[in-house]
Amino acid sequence: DALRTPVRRLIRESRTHPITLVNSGRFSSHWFIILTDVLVHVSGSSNHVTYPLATIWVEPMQDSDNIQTKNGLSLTMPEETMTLACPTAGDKMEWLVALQSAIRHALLIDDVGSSSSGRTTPPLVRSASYTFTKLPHLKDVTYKGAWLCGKMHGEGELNWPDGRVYKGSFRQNQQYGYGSSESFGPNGSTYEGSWKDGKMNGYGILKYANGDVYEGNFQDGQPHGHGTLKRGHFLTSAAHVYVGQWEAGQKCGYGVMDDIVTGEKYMGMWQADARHGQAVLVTLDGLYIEGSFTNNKMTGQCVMLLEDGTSYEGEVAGVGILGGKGLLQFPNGDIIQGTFHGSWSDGIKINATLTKASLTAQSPLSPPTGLSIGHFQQQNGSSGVPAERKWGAIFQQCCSTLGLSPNCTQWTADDSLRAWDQIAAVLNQCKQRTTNDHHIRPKIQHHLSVEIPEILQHIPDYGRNQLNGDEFVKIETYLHMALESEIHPLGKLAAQIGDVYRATYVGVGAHPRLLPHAVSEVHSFVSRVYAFVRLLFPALPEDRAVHLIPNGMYNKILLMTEPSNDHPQELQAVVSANTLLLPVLLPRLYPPLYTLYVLHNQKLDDLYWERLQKWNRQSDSALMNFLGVDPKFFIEEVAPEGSHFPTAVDCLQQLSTTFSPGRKLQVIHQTFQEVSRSVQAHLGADYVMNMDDLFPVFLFVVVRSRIRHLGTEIHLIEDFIDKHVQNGELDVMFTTLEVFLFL
Amino acid sequence: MSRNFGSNLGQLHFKIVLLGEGCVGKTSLVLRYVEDKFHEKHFSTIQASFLTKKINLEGQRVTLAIWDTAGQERFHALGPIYYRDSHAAILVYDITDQDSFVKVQNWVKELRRILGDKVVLAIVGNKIDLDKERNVPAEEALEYSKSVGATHYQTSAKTNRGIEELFLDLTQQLLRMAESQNELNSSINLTSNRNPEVVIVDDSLAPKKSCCG
Repeated sequence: DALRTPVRRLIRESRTHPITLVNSGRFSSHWFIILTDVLVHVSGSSNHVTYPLATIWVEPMQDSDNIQTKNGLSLTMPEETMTLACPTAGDKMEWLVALQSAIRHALLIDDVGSSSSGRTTPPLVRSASYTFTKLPHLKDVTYKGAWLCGKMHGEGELNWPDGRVYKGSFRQNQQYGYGSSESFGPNGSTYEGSWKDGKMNGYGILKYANGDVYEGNFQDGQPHGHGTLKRGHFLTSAAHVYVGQWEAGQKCGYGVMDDIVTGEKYMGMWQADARHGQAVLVTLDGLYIEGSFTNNKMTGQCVMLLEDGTSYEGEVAGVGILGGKGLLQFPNGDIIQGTFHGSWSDGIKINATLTKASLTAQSPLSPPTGLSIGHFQQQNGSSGVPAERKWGAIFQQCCSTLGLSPNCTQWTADDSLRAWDQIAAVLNQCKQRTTNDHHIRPKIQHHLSVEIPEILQHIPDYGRNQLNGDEFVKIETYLHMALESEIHPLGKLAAQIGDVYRATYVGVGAHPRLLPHAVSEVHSFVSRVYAFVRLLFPALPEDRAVHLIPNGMYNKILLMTEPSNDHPQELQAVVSANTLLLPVLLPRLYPPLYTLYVLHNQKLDDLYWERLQKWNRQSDSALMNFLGVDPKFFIEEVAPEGSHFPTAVDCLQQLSTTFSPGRKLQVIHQTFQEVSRSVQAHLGADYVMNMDDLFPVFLFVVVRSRIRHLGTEIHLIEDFIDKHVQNGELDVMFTTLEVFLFL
Repeated sequence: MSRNFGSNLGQLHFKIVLLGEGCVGKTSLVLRYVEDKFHEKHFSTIQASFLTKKINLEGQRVTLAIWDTAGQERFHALGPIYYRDSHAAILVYDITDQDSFVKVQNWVKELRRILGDKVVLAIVGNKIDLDKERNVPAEEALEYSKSVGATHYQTSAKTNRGIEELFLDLTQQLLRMAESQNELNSSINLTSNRNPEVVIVDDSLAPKKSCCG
């Protein structure tokens, strides 16, 4: 009687049309009633359970020898299954049809419309709302969304009584795929990202109630792999940003921690959420420290470098605190050797011996500051975490995306094929998402607008067995597109590399002493990404090897070139990890790297710039005279304040606007070409310049092109060119530019 | 930039730096050597400032990369940047000009100090077609060359005398040096990475900087 409502109508009941519960107790009595929207099961005299028809899947059972399930119907509901049996096959059919039609009705499926299509069974996949009552972890939870045979499957929404919400995909009753969840209260959080087996798994963003945000990889509901945690705000007492590796919810492996309150930046190893192992630290005060940590405390030997050039090498008792035996060296070369206690800010107690550099026979160890770095600097970079041990999780993630075992480095041809399949699958998935984007997925949405470039849509058939010029251009184009793409696994990898690089070397990390670390990190990125590239294009040369291909047929992509052996006029393209990857990787890393170079070369650049400003005030003829340019290069038609060699000057100015060292060298090469062209236009095509002529002319061009950070540009090129370039024409040109810094 | 005879193509690469005052004829000397009678002249972009010559010697393919330097006295201080990592240096003087020979002696001192014994030195008296006006006695030059472990040659770029011999002999010396070096570090891969030693060389050069202004 409690179930009586105005819209409910009785459809069928088991007193007039018998049906019984299989496996029920002998003396229990059961009464089944189909109402408009529910199936009621009354057991005994008063207990009854109602099942919403919308979430009942009914199926006739195969007749079997089992007498009990003869003429049986199997009912599947979200939280249980039931088997009912009828006395005769006819009864069974009647019940089945009645149930099915009632279910269809409950699902609001138009009977007329669908019967014309010949279907009488309700669909297996449905959209319905249901509130759980029994399952312990889902009690009183309401689900609204897609079902498949009694299980939550497809897109849907879960609402917990405490306000928790999950919106997203399900599979087999569990959160699986992309979804977002939100919970409230002091331990509340919102999460948006990937799920698997009911837990956060894969990439996602978790926002805690206190404002902390974790963005990165999850495994079984916990941060695991590569991720970033932002804790606190600028005003709170503990605020930091951690970028690095996680294991089961704890910081573990290599990671960079920016302490926003103290201005300290830690770049080193972690274990169980604590700083532990080799590390480099820089502080807001310009202190650079190399050492090792045990359980969050800095101990043992360390090297400390102060901004003014003072250095300490010895035992420590904490970050920036001297404690024990050590050696203190001042910029002027004076040395204090003994025991030290205290910190730089509070004064240091010293019990030691002082050696005045100027009064001892031994020559000063370090050359004047500014140009050279001193012997400590040469050591630095040797301590700290080796570049190839940094950011392992990012590369492992790429491995697993490509279906590779992360621990194996010797990949086979099979691995190559599998990797291509995986790439195709990833790209395809994104394409499908693009075509049926009926769900709003903010994080992925901006990907939707990205068209997959044509070249990435096919698995390439080039670069497999052999390498010629054509194939190489194709590979280069492919890589360019792949690394720019936001969905291609290599593009994702490149983006992550860019992110962690920025996280490391921006802000407090923009410390001139970190340059060696930053440079070796780039080299390590290149060789680790190149490992994947070679897996995909096995015909490419091994890392650190170079491969020359005649460059005759294409001029579009001119790489570092040098005359080939057999055809001296013809240039060759150089294929190496650097020439292939630096042009695409370096733009992502360029701003922080360039800043480090600028800081590192500041004194050099300032000296140069001052000189350049002074020289540039002179007119062309005065400047050419001053630089010793032979009068035969003066062009009288040019007005007194007009410009000589304008094309060469224009060309060289591009040096600061190109990103890859290869391109920069090309700019230098073109500049010399322009110089040659101008001279020959003026003095005749037969005129042959030697260094006596060329050198001053080139100096003139450099002065006039006013490159702000020439020292920076030069050192950057030097650190990243392949060694084979030496002894070639480019080497001479580069050296001639380099000379400028020593004038 | 490492000092190796590096080449992954089974051939040797030597860097030779050309030093000498402006008017001693060092450029004509090299131009004469690399000049190809049967083909058009084809220079590099920077023309005579950088020349290469490929030769076969003792069954070995050799590339000579010849770096010209600015002979003006004011640019003397920049020499180290050009001659670092060279395998050989050709120091040219004019036999009619005593000053140019003194200049060569200065270069020798500097090269020995900075590059040590590893560099092959060739001292070349050019313009022997002007023997009548000779100001540098041949014996003196020869004796001096011996005393510093250099080989002395006499050439005339104008009449093309002694030039072929100079480069042939120099290349043979370089080959012998490369062989002994090879035996020394036969286990070390020649195409290995940059030699860290280089940094030290650069540093020692750094304080030498001076301003030409």
